[in-house]
Amino acid sequence: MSAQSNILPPRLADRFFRFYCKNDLAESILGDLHERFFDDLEKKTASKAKFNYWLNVIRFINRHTLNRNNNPNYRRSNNSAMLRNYLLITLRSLLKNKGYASINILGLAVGLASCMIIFFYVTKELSFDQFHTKGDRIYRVTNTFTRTSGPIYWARTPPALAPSIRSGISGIEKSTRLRYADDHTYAVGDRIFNQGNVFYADSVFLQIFDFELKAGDKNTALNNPNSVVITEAMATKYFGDEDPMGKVISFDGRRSLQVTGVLKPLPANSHITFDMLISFETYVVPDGYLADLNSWGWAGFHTYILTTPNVDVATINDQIIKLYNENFNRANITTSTELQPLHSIYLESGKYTNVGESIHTGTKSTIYGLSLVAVLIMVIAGFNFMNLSTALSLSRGKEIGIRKVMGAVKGRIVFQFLTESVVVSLISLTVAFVLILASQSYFKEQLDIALPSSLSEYLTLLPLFIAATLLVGVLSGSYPSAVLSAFSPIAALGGKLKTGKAGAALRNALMVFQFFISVMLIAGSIVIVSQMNFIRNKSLGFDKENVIKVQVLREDMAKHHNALKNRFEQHSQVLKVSMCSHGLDGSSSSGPATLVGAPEDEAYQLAYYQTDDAFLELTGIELVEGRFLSKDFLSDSAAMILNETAVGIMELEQPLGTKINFNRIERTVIGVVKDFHFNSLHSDIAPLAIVRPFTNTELLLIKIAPGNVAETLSILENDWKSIVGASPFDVTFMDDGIQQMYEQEEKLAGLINVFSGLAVILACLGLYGLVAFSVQAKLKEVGIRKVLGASVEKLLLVLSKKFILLIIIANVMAWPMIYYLGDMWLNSFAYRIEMQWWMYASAGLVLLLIALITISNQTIRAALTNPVKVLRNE
Amino acid sequence: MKTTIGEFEEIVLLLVAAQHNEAYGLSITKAIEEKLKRSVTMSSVHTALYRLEEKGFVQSRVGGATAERGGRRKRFFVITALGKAALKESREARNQLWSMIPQYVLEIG
Repeated sequence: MSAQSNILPPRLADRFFRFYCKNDLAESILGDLHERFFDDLEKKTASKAKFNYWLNVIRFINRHTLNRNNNPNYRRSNNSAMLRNYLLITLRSLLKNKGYASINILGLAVGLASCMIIFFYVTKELSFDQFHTKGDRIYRVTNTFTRTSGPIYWARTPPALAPSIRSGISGIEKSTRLRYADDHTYAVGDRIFNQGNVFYADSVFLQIFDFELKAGDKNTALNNPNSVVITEAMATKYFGDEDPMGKVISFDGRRSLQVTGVLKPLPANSHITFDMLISFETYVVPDGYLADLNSWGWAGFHTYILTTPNVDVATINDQIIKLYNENFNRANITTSTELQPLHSIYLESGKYTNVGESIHTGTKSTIYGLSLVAVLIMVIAGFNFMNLSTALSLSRGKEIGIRKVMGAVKGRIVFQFLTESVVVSLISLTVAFVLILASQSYFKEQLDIALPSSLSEYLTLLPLFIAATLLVGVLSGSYPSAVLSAFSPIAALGGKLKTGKAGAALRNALMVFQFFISVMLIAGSIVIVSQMNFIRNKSLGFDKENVIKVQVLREDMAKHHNALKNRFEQHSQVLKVSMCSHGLDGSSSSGPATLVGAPEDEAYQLAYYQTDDAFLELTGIELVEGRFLSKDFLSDSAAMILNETAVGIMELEQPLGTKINFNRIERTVIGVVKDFHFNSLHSDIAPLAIVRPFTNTELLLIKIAPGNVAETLSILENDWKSIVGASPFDVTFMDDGIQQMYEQEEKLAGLINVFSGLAVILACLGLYGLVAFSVQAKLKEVGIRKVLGASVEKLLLVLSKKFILLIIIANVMAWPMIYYLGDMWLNSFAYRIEMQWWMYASAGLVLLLIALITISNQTIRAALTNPVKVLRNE
Repeated sequence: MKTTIGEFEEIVLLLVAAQHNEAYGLSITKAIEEKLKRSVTMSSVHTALYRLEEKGFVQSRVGGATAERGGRRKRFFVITALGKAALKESREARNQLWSMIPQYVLEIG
């Protein structure tokens, strides 16, 4: 063998073998091959041995040798071993830096929780009316009246429309009217109930909409007069545990309504809500109304249609317009209709007036605004994460250096830190759920956001939240991991590691952006709160304090008005009593007015109030000219009072004594009152007429003395019981009613306040972390400065000036945005505040103050450190 | 899991057991060539060994480096308890079949 030991197996064959076999079998196989080759050499010729060698090498091509990782043990353990190691290191580094870790996790959790809450709110808003199976074929018919002054959009239509559509137009399967039932009394036996939320509905209503019946037949329940369908809750209220079907509810003491159906609870996301549906056949036009059910001019009914499948909606609309114009013809008004798809009613009804009671509308801008806020909060939280992780990376330089020396490639390091950020974000998600559960009642009660109550609702959304969280984790982990994996191991192990200038610049930019968002949100809350205060305190032209409104049934008013008024006014606590058609909270009637002698087509639409002579004194409205209604003048039943806007619009130079045909009655103007805001401040003051009641009104306004309101109310209630008897005593405060007109804004203000508060907290958490870190890095510098004689004040300035500068930059950048967005929102009010310099300044100052408090803890501690301690090691 | 064992695999497994602790690819190849006078390729022996390892009948370990074969380490195979059971089972099956053969059949030869 020794003689032949210089003959070696063919190199090319070896190379070929190494080429195709790269796993850990290679060594032993090659060893066997070589051994065999040398065995062969002893018995055969060198060329024969080489030939056999080649043959064997080729024969060894099989799945075991080609597989790169064929050892089952190796394959099973290594990936998961590294993953396990990454998780272990993540956990260790979280535990080592408890402070930073909790800032990171808490910040991200607050961000996630905010986003989830906003997500719940927005999805609920978007889900309105989606539960109707025929929803894509249901439309609401709305009116557009175009006058020279511009178009007016009405959500309600006249009562004659639906029946004519049904008979006259093809492509429509069903149509229904819906009429809100004004106040009536409802009684079972001698028990009388307070009942709102009642509609009259045509028989097909339950066939068009999917409001499920628990009992009764939805095809016939509303067919006959005096039928009523009630919700389960109402059934319990009226009949307790008894079976309500077939039972009778006494209606206004004159008629009996028979229960023909029981509704399951209505979905919360329906734009129509009701507790009772009375068959339309039951409806009787109240006394004193100027129109009947054949009217084309009385827009007090909702009309919904269900089209047949696959029809052209535009053609149907054209036909309806034609029908309308045939029946309703006014000289200076063009009328048209618009079919509004069911799914857009809730969110896109902003332009419509006379939307009607128990019809709910939302606003798109709130949804957009909140979604934007959610994204911004998430951005702040994500940036916090990026900033803190990158800053912390300096302390992990050695770890990364060692890993690289041990063979970790860049991709592995990136993977490690992505794993870390994903783990942190999943922990945050868990914390976020805890936060949501803890704050559930707050959001429900204060902001009217219903969060899912059952676990299963959360579970169905869980995959979505986990996916979103993973995305956030990966996105915010991408930058830190890129930075960390780029470390040169030599620099990292030599301890000379510094993140580059570019890294610091990026961190600063991220922080400026965070403060930019925070300033915007703070300024936003300031603007909204100021505007709401302005509205609350704006002089409306009348005195809304200490006025109560008593809802009275028409027939009670007719019977008992004088008795009630006399009895009430005997009490020293009652200053004034007036009967009135409306409560100065946005509602009014309206009718056409023409100057006597002027052509018919020069009609002006005037809003009007019916009231008596006590009204002026009770409300404190100012009289500009002439006199108010007075019981001394019998002729006042044909008199009218105008507001200044009406005088202006009708261009009356000498308003007093002018004769005007108003609602088909000739009236004389006897006085002019100063404009007052009987509508919401979103709109300008409309022209208004005030006349004596020509029908029975439904409101008593009572001005009471301030102080001890509860006692006054109980005195009044006793009087009420002794005079009116059975009907419920239904009292509201005028200022509450006015406040309700701004419900949406109040809600928005509440939401923006909460979330801008959270955004500021988040940004400050991030700031705290960064300052803590940068102070640590500067401790030696501080020590040296101190040794050289720097004072504590000077050191504080040195340590904080960079952050103050960043906040100032963020402020300056935010100003134009604040102006733009604030002005846009304020423009939705006819009466609005102007953006003031102090709004910007105070937003900036608030932020600066919070930031200074945040960093002071760290900087003061650093400035007070004993220099010996930090410099000793040098 | 019911794992079957082929005839060739059984031979290899028997030899792994026979050369206890000393069995590696080439030693088994040589044994088959010398004891059974069968020509066999190295790769098929190796393949059989790897498959036995996948089935859990043998376990492999890498031996220490020696001066032979250019310092390349051998992969030694050892029979597992499962492998022993499989051998016994196949032996019993054969014995049973053998016992079924009537005496005179063999005698007539």
